[in-house]
Amino acid sequence: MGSPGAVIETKPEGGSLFAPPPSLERDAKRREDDELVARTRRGDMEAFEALYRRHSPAVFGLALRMLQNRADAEDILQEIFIQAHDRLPSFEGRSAFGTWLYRLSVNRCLDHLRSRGAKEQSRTEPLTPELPGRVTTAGTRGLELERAIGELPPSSRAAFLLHHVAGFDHKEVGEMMGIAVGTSKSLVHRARTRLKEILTR
Amino acid sequence: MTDEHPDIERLNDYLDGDLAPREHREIESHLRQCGDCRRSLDELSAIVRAASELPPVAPPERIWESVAASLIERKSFARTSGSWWRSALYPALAAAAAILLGASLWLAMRGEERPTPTDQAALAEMVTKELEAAETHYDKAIVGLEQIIAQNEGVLPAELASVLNQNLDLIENAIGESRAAIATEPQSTAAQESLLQALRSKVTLLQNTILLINEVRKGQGENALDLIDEMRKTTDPSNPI
Repeated sequence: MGSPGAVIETKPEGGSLFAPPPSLERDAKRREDDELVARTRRGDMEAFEALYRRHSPAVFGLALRMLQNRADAEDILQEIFIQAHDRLPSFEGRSAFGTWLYRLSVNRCLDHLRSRGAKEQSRTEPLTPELPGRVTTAGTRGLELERAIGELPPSSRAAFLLHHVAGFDHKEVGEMMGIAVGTSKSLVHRARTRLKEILTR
Repeated sequence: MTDEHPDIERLNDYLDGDLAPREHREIESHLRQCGDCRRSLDELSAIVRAASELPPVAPPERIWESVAASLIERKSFARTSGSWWRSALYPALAAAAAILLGASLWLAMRGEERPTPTDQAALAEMVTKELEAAETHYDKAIVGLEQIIAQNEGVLPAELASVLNQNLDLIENAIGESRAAIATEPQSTAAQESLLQALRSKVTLLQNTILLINEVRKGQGENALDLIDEMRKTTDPSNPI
């Protein structure tokens, strides 16, 4: 990989190379979500269905990658949205609905992994037929990455997925997981380092 | 410093742009002359890039159906419309359709099996038995339908539920009146005919309900509402059943 002089260009003044998408798009989505949340609170099932349609693929992707088991991920997805509906009255809108939903989702996944871990040491199944792999520009296959992510410890896995796949910054990841910004960075770094080891061994 | 390999943590910081300018420049300088560290950085970078390209995964449709069914069971939603009918109400409506279709077929088959009466008393007995059997069968259908409606209380659009209940009440009244007449005059062909007619009206209503279900299934909301209006007209209290 790489050739002399092919040093990755970075921003000397700080800031991530892989920042989330422009905030404009996020703001528009947030406004639409806010409207759907308000309608759902008034008992509009169509609005809740729309929220589900907008967010379930991202949440399901997170659950699959966190749990590495399709049946569990499906059960958890269902639980997450029922829980989200139940808790919607207490959602104050300080954060975006998507952020709030991700917080609920990642913590539900972590709880599940903890209880699963207590029951059986390891029950991971290969995700090969279930997660769409793709060849990336740098030559790392998405599918290999999916498998490697499954080998990460749960907290690192969660922080990595939230930051690099879902695109949340460390402050948001910290809030979601109830950890400090520095801890989020540290978990993500550890995840990247471990993934590098797994993928190059 | 430039001869010293930065540890992986610092390479991670470099990748994130989290280093102070001086440190950043030092690592940059080192990377220009160290292939190993460049390779490490490229590998980390490739992982980050690959992660950002991992796609969302669409869940199977049945997950939403389960979520919706669960919320319905708990009567979380009072209002329904549009596609929501199709996704959540279908199983219940399909079950209702099956019950009603069964009832209609039964009546049609009974008609074909009717034996030839040999005398007036035998005819009266046969009609009575047949009416009893018809009532029993339709009672079952009504129980099934009422159960489905009860299970979906607050989910079925108020307009539709109201029309169904209104029509069922009217027919029940007509059946009740006919039964009362037969009890007073067991041999009265007018009373028997009245009861049969009430049952036939029920068949019509049930068939209309099936049509309505079909319209909802096809997503023809406007046609469904037209059908409700039609059902209202045909079962108007001023229109004797």
